[in-house]
Amino acid sequence: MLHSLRYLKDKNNTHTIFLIDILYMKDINYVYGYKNGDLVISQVLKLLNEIVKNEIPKILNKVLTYKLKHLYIDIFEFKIYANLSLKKIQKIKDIILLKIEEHDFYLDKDNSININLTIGCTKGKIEDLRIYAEKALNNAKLNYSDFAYFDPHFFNEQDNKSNLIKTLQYNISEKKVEPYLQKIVSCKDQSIYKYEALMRVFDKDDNILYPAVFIEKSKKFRLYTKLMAILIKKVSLYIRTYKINISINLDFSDMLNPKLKKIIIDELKNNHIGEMLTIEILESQKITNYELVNDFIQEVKGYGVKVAIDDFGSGFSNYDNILNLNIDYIKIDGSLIKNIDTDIYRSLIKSIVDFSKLHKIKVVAEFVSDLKILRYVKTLDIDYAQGYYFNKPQHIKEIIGEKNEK
Amino acid sequence: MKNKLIQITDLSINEVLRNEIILPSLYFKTFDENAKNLKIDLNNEKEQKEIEHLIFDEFSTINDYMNTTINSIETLSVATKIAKVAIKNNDVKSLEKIQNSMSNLEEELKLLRDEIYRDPFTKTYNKKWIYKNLLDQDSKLKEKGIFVLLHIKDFAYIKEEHNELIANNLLIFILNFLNRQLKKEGVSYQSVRFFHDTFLILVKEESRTNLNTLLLNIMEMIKNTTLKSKSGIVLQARFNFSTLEYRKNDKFQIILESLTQGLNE
Repeated sequence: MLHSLRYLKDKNNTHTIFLIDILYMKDINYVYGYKNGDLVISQVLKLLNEIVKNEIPKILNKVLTYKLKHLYIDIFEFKIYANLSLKKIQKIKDIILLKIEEHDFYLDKDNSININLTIGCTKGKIEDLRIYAEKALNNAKLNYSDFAYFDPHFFNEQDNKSNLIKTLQYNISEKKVEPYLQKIVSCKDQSIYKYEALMRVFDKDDNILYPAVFIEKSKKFRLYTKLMAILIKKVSLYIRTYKINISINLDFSDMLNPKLKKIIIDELKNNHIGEMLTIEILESQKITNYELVNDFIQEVKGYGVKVAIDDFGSGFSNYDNILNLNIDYIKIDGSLIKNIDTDIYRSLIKSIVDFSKLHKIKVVAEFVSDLKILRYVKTLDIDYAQGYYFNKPQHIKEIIGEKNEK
Repeated sequence: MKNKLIQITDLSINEVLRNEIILPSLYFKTFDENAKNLKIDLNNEKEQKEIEHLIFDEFSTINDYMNTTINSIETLSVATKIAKVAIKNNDVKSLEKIQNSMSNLEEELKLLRDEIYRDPFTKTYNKKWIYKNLLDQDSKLKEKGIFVLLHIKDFAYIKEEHNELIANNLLIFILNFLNRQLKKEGVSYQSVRFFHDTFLILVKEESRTNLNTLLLNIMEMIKNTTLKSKSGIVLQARFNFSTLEYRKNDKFQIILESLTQGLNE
């Protein structure tokens, strides 16, 4: 006993933590009512206590020092004050799953149901061990599996996260966010028609970070709106200063974001950039309310802004989007253009082009990376092309330098 | 056993490469020392048998190569004779046949070459390929370019702590991810498995700054990815890298030392 108490107090000892989650608890509450939901939870807790007292010591061949508690609505925390091997962890997980999932849980009217669990586990010395057990639990749920173990060897991930937050905050405070510009050229004579602005930020050593590294994370950290605000203002500045046409990317939530919407409308109203601005709608298949999007489109079009659908032909994007939205361009998804040299893809692209022409919508081909692809694009009568064959996204200084040289 | 011998070979090559001249005696001495460090008794009867088995395998591969080459030469000689007659008689059918057998021959030789110059597991090139294609007789580089030395972190840890299968899957995942990203960015490259968890990537026609930026971003992207084994173990994929521009006639050994130093900084 004395030994156990000492172990509990000693922060340098390794603990093993299991988070046990009742799968679809909301459904149980919804179907059988909260009273029955609570009844199930109390039975799970009782059963877990029995497993911990009677079954697990048999696996470990010793008496445990542990804590078992009902953590949130449908989650239980089982903390063992010992450094367990992965083999033993797997055995504990197996016995918990077996005993709980084969058990009949009684409801108030003599009915019984069975439940399923998901378990997340980790072990370590650190105080916020639960965060990693939660990560394991989330991972298991995302992969539709009943168990995940987060290896403590990879605990330093928190540092990566705080580094990225610092990097993004630095880019916001110093206004370092930069639109890198990629040419969109006319297929007829390869003259520059406009540029697409692609967001870049910089780390402390001034290395460029690509959107795949920070865009989704910035949304999680609630810093995305601030980054976008700086980007939009810089794009507006470049349009006015260098008299170039630029397109920016917005998704459904950006268009509904009151702060971003206000910034865009203010720039259109006060700086008269509408005629030189295009808005590309990203992930159009995720649009759930066409009325709201069309309201936004109508409003910006009032200032002369052109509107495009990005990545058309990818995922579940369909022709409904073209018919439901008042757009000027569609951009064919890069995954189709990359395969333009195969018959199936070429006929698919051709059908998109024919449909667009019928509705007087201009077509842009992305991912044109070599002359061969450009030739195919031209034969299909696509209006504009964009890709590494023309340029990789560049800083405005390089773009203007090139223009001046010409 | 084979894996242990590969490990000893890697360690030994790594050590001896620092020397200007490598005599066979130095290599044997280093190999012996590393074998002892890894607790392998090369004179033990059981280990001896396994080594003999490996030598036999290696010999079989060489033998196969020789046989196929001899067969290929014979096929080529017969085909040439038939071709002469076919051209004379304007026999299109025979010429088509010859063309097909030439393609098969080419394919067979390519497969054999791959067996010799490729790492069987990752299908990247092996060290023999470097010595055959990149270096001259004095171990100097034949052309200019950029080298990337890329180290897969935690490979040894995962192999030790979990199992080799998970470690290998991690390795393949990182390589595939890297290949996809490099191709997406239009970078032309060749990769070599240099040690069990270290790869040497050869890049031409790309600026070192752009390459560094790209690799840094790939490194960050991969950090955001978690992998899960069938048994439920959640891991993170991580690597570090160093890059170096080299010129024609630079000594490979010196370049490699700088790259290794860069990796450890």
